[in-house]
Amino acid sequence: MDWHLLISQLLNGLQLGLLLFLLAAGLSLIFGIMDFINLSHGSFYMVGALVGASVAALTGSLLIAALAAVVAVFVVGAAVEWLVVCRLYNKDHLDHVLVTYGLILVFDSVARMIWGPAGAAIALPEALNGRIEIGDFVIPAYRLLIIACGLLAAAGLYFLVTRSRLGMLIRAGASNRVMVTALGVNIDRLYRIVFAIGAALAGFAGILIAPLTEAHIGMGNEIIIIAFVVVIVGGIGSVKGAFYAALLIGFIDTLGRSYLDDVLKLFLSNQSAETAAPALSAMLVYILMAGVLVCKPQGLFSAAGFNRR
Amino acid sequence: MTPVSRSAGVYALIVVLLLAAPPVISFTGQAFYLDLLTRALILAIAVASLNLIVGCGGMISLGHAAYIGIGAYSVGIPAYYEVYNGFIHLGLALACSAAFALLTGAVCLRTRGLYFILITLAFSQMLYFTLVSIDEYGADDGLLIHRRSEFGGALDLEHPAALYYAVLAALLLFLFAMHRLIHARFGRVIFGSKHNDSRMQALGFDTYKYRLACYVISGAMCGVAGFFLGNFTHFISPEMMDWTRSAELIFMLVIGGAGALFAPVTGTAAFLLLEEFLSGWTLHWHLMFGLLLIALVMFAGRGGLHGALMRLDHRPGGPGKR
Amino acid sequence: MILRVEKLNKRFGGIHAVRDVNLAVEDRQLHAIIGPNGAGKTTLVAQLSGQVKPDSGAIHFLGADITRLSGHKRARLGLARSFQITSIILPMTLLENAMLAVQSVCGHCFRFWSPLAADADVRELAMRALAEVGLEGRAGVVAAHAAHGEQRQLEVAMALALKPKLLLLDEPMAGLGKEESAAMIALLKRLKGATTMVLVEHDMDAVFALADTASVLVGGRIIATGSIGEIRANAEVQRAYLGESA
Repeated sequence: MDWHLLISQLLNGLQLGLLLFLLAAGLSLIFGIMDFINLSHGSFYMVGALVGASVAALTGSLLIAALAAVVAVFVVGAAVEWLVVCRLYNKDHLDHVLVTYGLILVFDSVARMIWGPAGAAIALPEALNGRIEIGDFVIPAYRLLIIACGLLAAAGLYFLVTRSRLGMLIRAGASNRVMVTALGVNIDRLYRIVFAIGAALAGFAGILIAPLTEAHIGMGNEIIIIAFVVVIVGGIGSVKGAFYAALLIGFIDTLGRSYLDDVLKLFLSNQSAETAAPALSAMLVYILMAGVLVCKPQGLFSAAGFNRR
Repeated sequence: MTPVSRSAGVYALIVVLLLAAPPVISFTGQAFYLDLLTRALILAIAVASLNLIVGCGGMISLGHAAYIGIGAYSVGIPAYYEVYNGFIHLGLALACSAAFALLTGAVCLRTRGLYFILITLAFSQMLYFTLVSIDEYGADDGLLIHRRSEFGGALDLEHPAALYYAVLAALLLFLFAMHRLIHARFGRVIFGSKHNDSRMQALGFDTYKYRLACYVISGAMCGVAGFFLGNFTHFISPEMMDWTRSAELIFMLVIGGAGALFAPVTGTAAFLLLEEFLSGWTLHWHLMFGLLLIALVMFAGRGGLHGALMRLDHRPGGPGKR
Repeated sequence: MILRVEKLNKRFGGIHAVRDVNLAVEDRQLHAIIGPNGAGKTTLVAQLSGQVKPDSGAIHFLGADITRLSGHKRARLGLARSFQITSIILPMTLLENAMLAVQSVCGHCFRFWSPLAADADVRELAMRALAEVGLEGRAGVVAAHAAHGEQRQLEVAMALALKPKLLLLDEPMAGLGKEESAAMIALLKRLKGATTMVLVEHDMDAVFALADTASVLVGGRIIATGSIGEIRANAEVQRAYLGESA
């Protein structure tokens, strides 16, 4: 077995998992607390990447770009909540689907008007463009940075949710909405902050990945589906569930794509294994989801069950 | 339940116009409009199948385009192996979409509400990514279909008017069947379960089974729409089952008025006309489209075009049907 | 004995909602379950009708163990219920609601073609069920537009249309005015003797007017059970429950 390939694939899986977590954590909280489904959550991912790319081009600093992206998306998220989303909480789920689908169209066209159909690229600074050698392993420096940032953000969110007053309200809201209202909390403001934090996390994921994939229109619309799968597998409203499920799915997806043909060759002829592997690896994540739903329809760490010690 | 009234008159008029369309269009020489109409009717079949689960059953599927894809690939893949027999294509479309609906529905229907929406979405994306990864059938680029399905001498789908009438016949047949179904015992159980599932269970109905059967019927029906769409476009690709396609189907249904029998026809027509009009008018028509959609939901209230027609029937303040 | 419950337990996290509950309901009797708010009545009803599965204990109905049976299967065996919060199909007329109940009893409903409305037998039986609760004149009214009292009566009619062996009534007087309550009590009096009933109720006047036997549920536990006269005289019941409501 090629250990170098395995390690590099494990790092890829970790990177994908952390990006998924940044997307899914916000989705899951919004889902769990507001009972709201935001199909356009991926648009925040795109806006983060695009704004970041522009700021990076202006200032030449990736750090400033990242900060600007997160702040911008936080503001955009709060604005969207204030203008549109807050009017929908009491409405039918069908309305959530339609309006947030409309939001995707709006975000994508506005982005196209501002940044053009090609989107924008971010050049990596010299220091991050290199490779880091540990023994005989060679790892691209930027991938390590993504992983470090992802872990930091996860830790930050963990502390926010478990240690702060806001976090206490968030946890209470995810397990029992009525109780939070009864506490006399300004529920509108709580919802707006949660929505904006969720958006900012997605925007952060967008600016993190942009130097590798470029920032392009509609970049959020595919990854968001896998983020939904993460939410379902992890259990709605649970940040912890989103974290484990995101890593699990990140690894399964990455390793499936690189190793499934080898595994299948144990059972099948070489040729049929090579035909079946790509299709099957595309399905793996969803098969996992179906399996979880059959065994635990509430997901692995549902917030409602989780808080009942 | 059956309004014999101005709205029924409008719908009857629409059917008459649809029946008369091909000769009229061929007389004016604007073949483009027959294409547009055929496309609208094919999508109307898909939207009608969606109406069965969303409008009657309250099961909001955000993955219904998957069945269009299954139906279309049921034409495209045999055609790739030079099998052009339409009965095989149609049989495959029905069987495969029903099977996919049964398998995924068995999982989805264990859940409700937002969960259900997301899981239908995820399963349709699973199919999408699976087909994207199969190089043999063109992956991303899809496949061309060189000849349309052949039904012996009985029906020549290569002829635009013949295809049009076949689609129209299928649509009207489905609408009639749905009308029967929702008023039959089965439909009453589905309707009851939409509005109050726990009451239906307390009455002794295993609603899961009924809802699953309804879901499978809807999937198979949508597969037929896919069968027609593959034939119509001479082309299949995974893009047909992208989740944004599914969202468009829901949009069409809501424009027409979810739950109303004829809504799929008016909703699809309105959607396509709007698309034509806006895309001819401005480059950024997606923006207009999105804003319109948001405004529609937030300010127009429920009922869609059907709701507007019903207001024709009832004096203001009279008991309207919801 | 129609219904026998043995050592039923249910916990929700830290709350022990139902503890070691035993119940026995005799044929053609009306057994009342009374108790203050939060006593566990709702949880007990949910377990009897199958919405909630108990942690431990057993429920026997007509001699069969139904502890693990789903709600719809229990209904098929003849255990019908009404809901505390009115639970009917609001967009349907009263008659259509009743017809749903009737079609549940008369065979399977995978019929896709013939309209139910044209089925004279089902309609006839549904009308009879409505007549039993005095709603025959209101058959064509959409349930959402019916008065609250009528909706509650419809609940009972739907349960009756199932031809139940046991009727589980979850606070049928909830939210009713004085006159509507009196009408409901009169209705249940008429049904008494023909149908076995378990009446979960808050309204003590109703219970004393109707019940043959009763159990008192306090803090998830049954603190007393016996004939209605014994319950009325029981000092512990007086202290725990009747005292506060009197």
